[in-house]
Amino acid sequence: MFFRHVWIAALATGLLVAPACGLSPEKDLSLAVRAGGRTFKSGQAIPLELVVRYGGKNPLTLNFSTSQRYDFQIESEGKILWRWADGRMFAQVVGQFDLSPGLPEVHYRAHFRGRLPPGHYTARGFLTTRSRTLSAAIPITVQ
Amino acid sequence: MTSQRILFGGLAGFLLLIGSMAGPVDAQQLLGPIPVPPPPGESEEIPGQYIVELKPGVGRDAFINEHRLPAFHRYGIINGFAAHMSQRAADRLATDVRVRYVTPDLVVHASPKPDSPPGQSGGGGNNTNEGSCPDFSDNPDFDPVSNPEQTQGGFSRIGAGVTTATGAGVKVVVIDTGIDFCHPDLVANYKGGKNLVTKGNKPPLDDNGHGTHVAGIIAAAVNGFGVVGVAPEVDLYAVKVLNANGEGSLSTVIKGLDWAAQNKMRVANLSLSAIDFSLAMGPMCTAVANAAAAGVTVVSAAGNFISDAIAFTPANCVDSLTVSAFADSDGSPGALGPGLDYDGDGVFDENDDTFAESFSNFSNYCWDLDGNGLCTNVDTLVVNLMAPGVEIRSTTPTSSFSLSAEGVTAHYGTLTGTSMATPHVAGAAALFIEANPTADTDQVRTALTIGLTTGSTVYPGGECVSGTPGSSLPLQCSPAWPDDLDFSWEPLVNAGP
Repeated sequence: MFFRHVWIAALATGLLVAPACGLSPEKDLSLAVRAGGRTFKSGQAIPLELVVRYGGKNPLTLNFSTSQRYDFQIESEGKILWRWADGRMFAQVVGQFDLSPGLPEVHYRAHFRGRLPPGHYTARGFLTTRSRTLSAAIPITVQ
Repeated sequence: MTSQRILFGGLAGFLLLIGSMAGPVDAQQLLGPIPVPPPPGESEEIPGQYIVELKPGVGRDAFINEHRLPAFHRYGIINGFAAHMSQRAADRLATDVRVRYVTPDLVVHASPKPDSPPGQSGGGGNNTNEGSCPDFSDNPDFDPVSNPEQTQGGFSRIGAGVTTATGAGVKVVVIDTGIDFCHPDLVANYKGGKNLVTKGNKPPLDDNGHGTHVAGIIAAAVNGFGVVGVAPEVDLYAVKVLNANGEGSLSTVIKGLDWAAQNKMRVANLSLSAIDFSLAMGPMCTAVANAAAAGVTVVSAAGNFISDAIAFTPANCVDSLTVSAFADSDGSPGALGPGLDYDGDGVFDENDDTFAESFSNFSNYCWDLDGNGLCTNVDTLVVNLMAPGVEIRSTTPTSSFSLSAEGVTAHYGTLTGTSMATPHVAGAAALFIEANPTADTDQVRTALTIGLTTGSTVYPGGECVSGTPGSSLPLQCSPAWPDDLDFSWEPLVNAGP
């Protein structure tokens, strides 16, 4: 019984930070990930870029829970092998910025510099907005 | 062992859901090659960087020499170091019986410096003189007539206004993005610090704005203009561990605590957080414990993820005084003040679900171990206190800073977060220490959370969910969820007589 309570508590917590249900997607907002190529040598640095584009006519305010605005991760068969934010500290201040026709695009960049065994992977970028986390992904190959 | 499995099982579920929370919305294809390396000022991972914590009694320097490791941080606060090595070498090191932990690390590179105020240069180290500051005498923001001094609700709420203590002579360090030490509301109290982010022995100047805001909540001076800090006469120090984007690494923050202990700080404010699934057993919590043992009261933000604080560090450290945020609009208990227009649109609607006198709609909370939706003594004591953290007005930099791009005004501005709740408690700790200079960190914690009588001075605590003013019931955690709030609770941190 005790175990079940703990598990339920953990699940409830997870749900609280999961994407809010019933929200319509920001139809004019799109995300893309670039990796500076599709094929890399094992151990080669992989440059990652998250491009956030906004095509709406009215300003769109993006709200964030902390100073973190984005994240990247490398996945294989659904398993997360690397996450940019791991081990990283963020200021715990609520923040926001506006996308508008005058500022329609934002870029976030990072590098993965670990050593992956040869194989196929997914590089995913996240926009860590407060209400829900949006993501885009691309396949990459390590030789 | 059983309980340990339970803990890990629960966290695994949490992790699972964190990992699955991101739903792809638009997976576009490659847009073309991008330049390498990233533009100047980007945070960038350094290949193969690890924090190594050794078991007690193991000689650190001998260990480093034995393994010929290029250590770049040698800690005093933990028996360990940070070094460059390959993942293979790190894996091999982790099997050494003398090693307690090998943790991957990421380092923040030098960020582009803001335009420094004229005449401001050099400094760093433990300097108390960071160079001359600009003349602000003609600036209306620093004029008692055009910008008369205001005390914030939080100042009243924690009882700072009814005590004669001012924190005078108490060393308080803000481990953050740095401080604008030329700010006229901070310059009198600023005593020095250390920049652990920008290479070249630079002073810990704030290029983000967060650290200056935190510092003002603690230490803005009584001078007739601007704002007043909770403890307006503390000796204020800054250790810069976060870059212009408000990001930093675990190893750098540990180094910041190292600095705090070595320089005999009495209070360290950590308005920062990282996701952590070590169950408070990683090097960060060892550093917090050792800092506390050295006399540093470590006050940490619970975090802003509406989650159990157990999964965030340093909030989850046993020896951290961890702080959730609540909304307060009038400086008094009872929910009698006006609601807070959370999104600033002038309309109270579903976006403004943090009204006067409520648990904030972003704050982390206690680990609700029994799953009953309330924080009680059977739950873990991850969060110790609540303090005001919604729409807090404080100091912001006088030179360029990153948060200005997000609408935060220069000189004085309003920010929201557990980052803002934390310095209220750090300031309250300084008030208590001034009156009780020989108090150890356990006594400071007890004074702020349970209530303590020392001599003729009584330091009442507060209640977690309900109770009466000055009750000796322990304030060990914050409500699990706003719906559970009983609006009758009283001052949550009270350093007043």
